[in-house]
Amino acid sequence: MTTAHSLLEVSNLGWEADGKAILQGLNFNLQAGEFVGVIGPNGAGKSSMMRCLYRVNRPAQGQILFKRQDIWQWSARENARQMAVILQEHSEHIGLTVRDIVALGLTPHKGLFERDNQQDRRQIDQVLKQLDLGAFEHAQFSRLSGGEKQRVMLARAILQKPELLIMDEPTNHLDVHYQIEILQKVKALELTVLASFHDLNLAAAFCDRLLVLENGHLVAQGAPAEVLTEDLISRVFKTCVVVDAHPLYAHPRINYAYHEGEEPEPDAHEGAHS
Amino acid sequence: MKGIIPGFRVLGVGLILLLSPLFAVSFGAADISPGEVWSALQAMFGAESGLSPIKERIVLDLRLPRVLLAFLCGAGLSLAGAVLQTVTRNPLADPYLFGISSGASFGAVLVIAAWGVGGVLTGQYAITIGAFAGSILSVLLVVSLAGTGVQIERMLLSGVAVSFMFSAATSLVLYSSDPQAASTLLFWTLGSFSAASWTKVMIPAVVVVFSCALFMAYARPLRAILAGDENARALGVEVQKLRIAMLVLSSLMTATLVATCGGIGFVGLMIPHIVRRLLVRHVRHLFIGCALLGGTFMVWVDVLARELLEQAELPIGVITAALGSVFFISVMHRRRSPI
Repeated sequence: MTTAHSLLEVSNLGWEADGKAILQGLNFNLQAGEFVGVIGPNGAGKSSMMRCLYRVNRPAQGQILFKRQDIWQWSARENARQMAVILQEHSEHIGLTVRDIVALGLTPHKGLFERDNQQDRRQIDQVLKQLDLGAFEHAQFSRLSGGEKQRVMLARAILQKPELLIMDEPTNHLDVHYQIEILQKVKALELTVLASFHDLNLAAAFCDRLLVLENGHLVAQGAPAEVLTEDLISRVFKTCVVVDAHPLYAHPRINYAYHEGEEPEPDAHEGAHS
Repeated sequence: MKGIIPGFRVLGVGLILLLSPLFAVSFGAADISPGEVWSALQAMFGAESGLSPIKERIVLDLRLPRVLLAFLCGAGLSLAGAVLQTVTRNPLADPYLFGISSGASFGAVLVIAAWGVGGVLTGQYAITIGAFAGSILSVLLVVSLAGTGVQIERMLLSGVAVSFMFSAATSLVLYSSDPQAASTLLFWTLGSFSAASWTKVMIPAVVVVFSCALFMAYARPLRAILAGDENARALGVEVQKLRIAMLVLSSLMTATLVATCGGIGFVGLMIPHIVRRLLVRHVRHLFIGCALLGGTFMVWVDVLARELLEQAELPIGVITAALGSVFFISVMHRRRSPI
């Protein structure tokens, strides 16, 4: 991994909450154009780490460089023009329509008093069309299904015109169809992407590289085939698996052992994720 | 459902809003028709009105500043409510809920009680300063009680606590001052535009227009806050700073209005609610709608205050509170019925 063209460089990142260390000594880079997945069990620090990158958490140690500059030296607006975020949870009762939410993507690009002009409206129309949201344009955001909501958030992120897209569990609460659809749409954007996953098979299918977090430490990073080994998964996720090759593609396929006693591992209680 | 407001509806509403002050000025003890009001207005710009000088003076020096003050007061309080509701994402927030109005009332009442009703010091500036100090005190208390995290629930609860505290203190001051002063103070805490003059209109006008311009300037980031703090931060909005700034600005505006017109309730809660239900979702439109509708509403409330009783004027706060309670009961009933 060279640092010559890294878009994002994270060195010795540490973060604590209420005096307790949540993240410790994280080192990794993101190259421009890469799709990088973050995996790890619940409470490993995936969301905390991502929140450090989009400046909601202020690191206790270490440094995060975006285009060679400390992210805390960018202004909040400058930061938001280069980095878009799709959160896991959305406010439910905000009374905004799909179009309103998408239009929020213009926020970091607009000055005080500046209103949406003809070109902005065209851009919004275009993004709505790109994500098949034209029919929902005036629907209340809170009434949409989970899959539609994620598409709206992606539309907003696209309108933000970022170089880096951060997504916290983008496939959470989605059915199989929407899980694949949203990731295909993200992949087609050819942005630099950092996304956390619970579904290891989705991570294997869509990511160029994976970061594995456990108890706030980065315990492995590399291509899915290097990282997703039977040994690592059973150790980190406390779940017995057999890893083979996906029948259609080259990437690894993770097969979970669902019943106790079939594998030598004693505590295979953590269920598999759909 | 309704995407964009049709142009004609905007036009119709605008016309009502513009004509309202004209008609409102014609109400009062002396008989003056809207046509005569129009002539008097033309006289202000040098034209020959053909009215008697007394009628002209009544319109220009008494009624017009009064109507303007009522408009500014209604517009300002409604705007303050709309802004507070937006930054807290709580539709029940209003200037009172944050303790701002109670603090302002307390400060103003304290100044009046300490230096008497008619003293030299109780010119508009001393009361304004007292009200403003009271409201800033309440904001400081709310913010320090809520803590640095600026969590919305803590802020609202602190606001309620501080509001009650100042109400109690205001009542205590009223109770311990002499009966004559108390009745003046009571009338004053309920609000009135009867002392309006051009000099009294100036400061509120500057403050309301200035605040309104700032609210409009920040309409886009304020709208992002509606989507949640973390979302807004990810969109480049400095949420904490903006929330505190808007809170302080609303308090400044409310304090000025309470100092000039007394503590008038329910408007800041009711008007944004109506505007949101009838017209718009966009924060910018909400602000414009609140300023216009709130102002017009207050102009007509003042007409009621002047006309309802034969001999005396009703306090404004009595009418707004009565209308407000009826309004919220009817909203509640309509909400329940379709289920």
